Amino acid sequence: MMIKKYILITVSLFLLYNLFVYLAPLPTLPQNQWQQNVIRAQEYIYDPKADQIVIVGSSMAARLDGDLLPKNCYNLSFGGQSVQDGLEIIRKSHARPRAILIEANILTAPVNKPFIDGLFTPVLYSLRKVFPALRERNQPVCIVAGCFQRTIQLASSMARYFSLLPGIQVAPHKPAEILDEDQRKVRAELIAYAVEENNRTPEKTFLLAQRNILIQYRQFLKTTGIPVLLFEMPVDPRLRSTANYSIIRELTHDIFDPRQYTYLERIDNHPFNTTDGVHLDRSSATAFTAFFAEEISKQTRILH
Amino acid sequence: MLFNSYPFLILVFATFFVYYLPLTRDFNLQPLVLILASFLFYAASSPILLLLLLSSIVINIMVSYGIATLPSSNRKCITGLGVTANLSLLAFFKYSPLIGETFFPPADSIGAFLLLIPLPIGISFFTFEAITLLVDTFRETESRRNGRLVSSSFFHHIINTSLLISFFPQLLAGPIVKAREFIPQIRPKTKADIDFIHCFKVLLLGYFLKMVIADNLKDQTFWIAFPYFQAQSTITLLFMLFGYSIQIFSDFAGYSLIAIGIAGLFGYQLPQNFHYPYISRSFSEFWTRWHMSLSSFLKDYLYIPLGGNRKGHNRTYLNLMIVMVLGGFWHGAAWSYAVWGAFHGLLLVVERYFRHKFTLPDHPLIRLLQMIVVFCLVTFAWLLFKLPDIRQALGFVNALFLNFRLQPNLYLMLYITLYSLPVVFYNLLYLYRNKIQQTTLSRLEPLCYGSLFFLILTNSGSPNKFIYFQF
Repeated sequence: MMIKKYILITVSLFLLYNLFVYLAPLPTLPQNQWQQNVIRAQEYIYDPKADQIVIVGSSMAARLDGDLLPKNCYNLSFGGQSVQDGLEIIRKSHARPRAILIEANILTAPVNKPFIDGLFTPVLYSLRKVFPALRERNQPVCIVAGCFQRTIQLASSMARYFSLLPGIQVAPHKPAEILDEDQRKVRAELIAYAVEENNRTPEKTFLLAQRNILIQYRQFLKTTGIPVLLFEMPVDPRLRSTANYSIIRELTHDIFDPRQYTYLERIDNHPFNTTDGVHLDRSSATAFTAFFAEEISKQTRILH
Repeated sequence: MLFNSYPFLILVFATFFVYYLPLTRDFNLQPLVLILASFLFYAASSPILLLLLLSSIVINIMVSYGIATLPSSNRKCITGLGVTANLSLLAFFKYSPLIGETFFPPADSIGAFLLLIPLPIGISFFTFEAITLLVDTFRETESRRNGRLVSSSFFHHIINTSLLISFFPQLLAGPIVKAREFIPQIRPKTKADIDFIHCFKVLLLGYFLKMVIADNLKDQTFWIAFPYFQAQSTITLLFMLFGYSIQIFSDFAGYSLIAIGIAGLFGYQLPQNFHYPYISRSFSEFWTRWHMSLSSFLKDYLYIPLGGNRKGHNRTYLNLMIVMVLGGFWHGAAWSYAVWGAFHGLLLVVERYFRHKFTLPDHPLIRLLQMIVVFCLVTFAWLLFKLPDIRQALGFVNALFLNFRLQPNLYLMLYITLYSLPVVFYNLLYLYRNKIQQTTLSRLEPLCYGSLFFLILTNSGSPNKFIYFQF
């Protein structure tokens, strides 16, 4: 009897909360990178839009500025993960986007199995379709933090507004990209480390295994008839000539032959800055997204 | 196999179903069903290491039977040999990598071999349980009490010992059960023997502590790791340390509660392992509330045999230090665990020394201050669990003093606060239980447990191994 009472209360709370998140979607704030990736994947899986162009990529493409991308573009790139995760989600979710843009920098990074398994756990996968409270973005703590963030943003914009009034002083906003000597030194060390790491050639058996997996994805994309475009995220120029980069580029061209697949134009002449040789810093990511968005629009007009 | 994984739930349900079949009970097959389920559970993590568990069981069946049946002149010697065999097995698998790393040069082949020896999950726990069987059998036989631990039937003895060492709810991380508490419980069980409401509540609280608190806090306290802590401000570092203290409690207390709840479903009562440790007002009190089954084991099988507090002040202090350093070493094969144990030993010695000199007035404010001091020092010592490399731990302390000018990480602090609140509330509720009306509590109880279940469904973190599995 008592156990029934506990369960009844749980069910009531759960149904009420579902109604609440369904009727009044509140801001949410991911607690960590993993959760951010899960939210991004679940939003794609449970709310696929028709006529959508999907970007699949790693943490490099995850830095693209979402506000500048075309409205029908969904960025399915994951921090700390790979292109193959995005492709696997598209394959398993049976959604058919209008086109797929594949980040060609590191195609060989393997699928993160626990991540994919977590998204497609048999019972939960179906339950999440019906009950939005089970989706990661609706975790009560994420919503509390999201509301807290919104309040701070509101307070800070109000403070900025009042700072325009005479007699009120607000601390000046420090631009994010100005680095001090120590930060510059750390960045230089990180870039040198990335160059050193990328001068090591990957093992042949690993490359062969990855090649076979990528051929399967190519086959899947061919079968479904989804148009594929490839693009490269800008990296530090010193990295482009490393052994690892050359090998991966060769493999990518072998799988996705440039004579058959469209590669978006690479922007080599712009001085993009990276935080570690591989990932664009915030302002460079914004600048690159503007170029990229224009290129997507051009290409998708052709797709029409 | 994680307690919050589908395979584990399937294993529990399947075992439960077979266990209570009339046929199973009538033919006295219930212990055998549990043993098979336990072997399956253990083999799921690493099938080859099942051989090690089986070896431990075989050794202890033979030795304990020998102690109970051989002439008294040989008993002490056999018990000593049996305990040594158990400790050697533990030492070989647990401490070989540490010995290889400390005493052999990097290129040495013996050192390289020692480094490759895997750490079998749960070995520290089942070895201690096996030791209780040998020592308890010896004590029981010596005192000429009727044999309760070693059955006169060798077949029953095999079953009893196998179940004691392998019982799956507590196999991987305790609570450490003593043979004299567990073996008498092995008898036919019916569903009527089970307090389902108690089991349900214990399981709910355990899963909540593990899945909602510990699994979420681990993502926030991740940044204690080297070198990330260097970029965090002093206040953020303090918050993370506090968060880790709550995390390690929730993780281990959660595991223990789940183990107790599942054992309860099969009619077995496991000892309580945590009793609000963070409200302790002294370090000796802390050790009667934290990992109680280990404290009790160390007291019964190490501290008292060493002489306990019967041989004068200095000897008591020495015994305390020995027990705590060995207890620290039991946690992990790294020198930092010995340092952690020595730190706790020192706190116990200092506390004992001053207890003879001063008596503090019994005032609520003094009591609160005592709690805060104990909590802060215990929390500070957990740093050695998170950063077992002592140089990194010192680097963390250094950052605590140097990073006060950095901007605090507001959101990280917010998350730590939100996830720590239920644990703080849980302790406060216990502290002020006498001041709250019983009727109010019982009226609120269903809502509390309902909310816990609701949060397990909607706010669980990404699954992670229990921290104590590594020990």
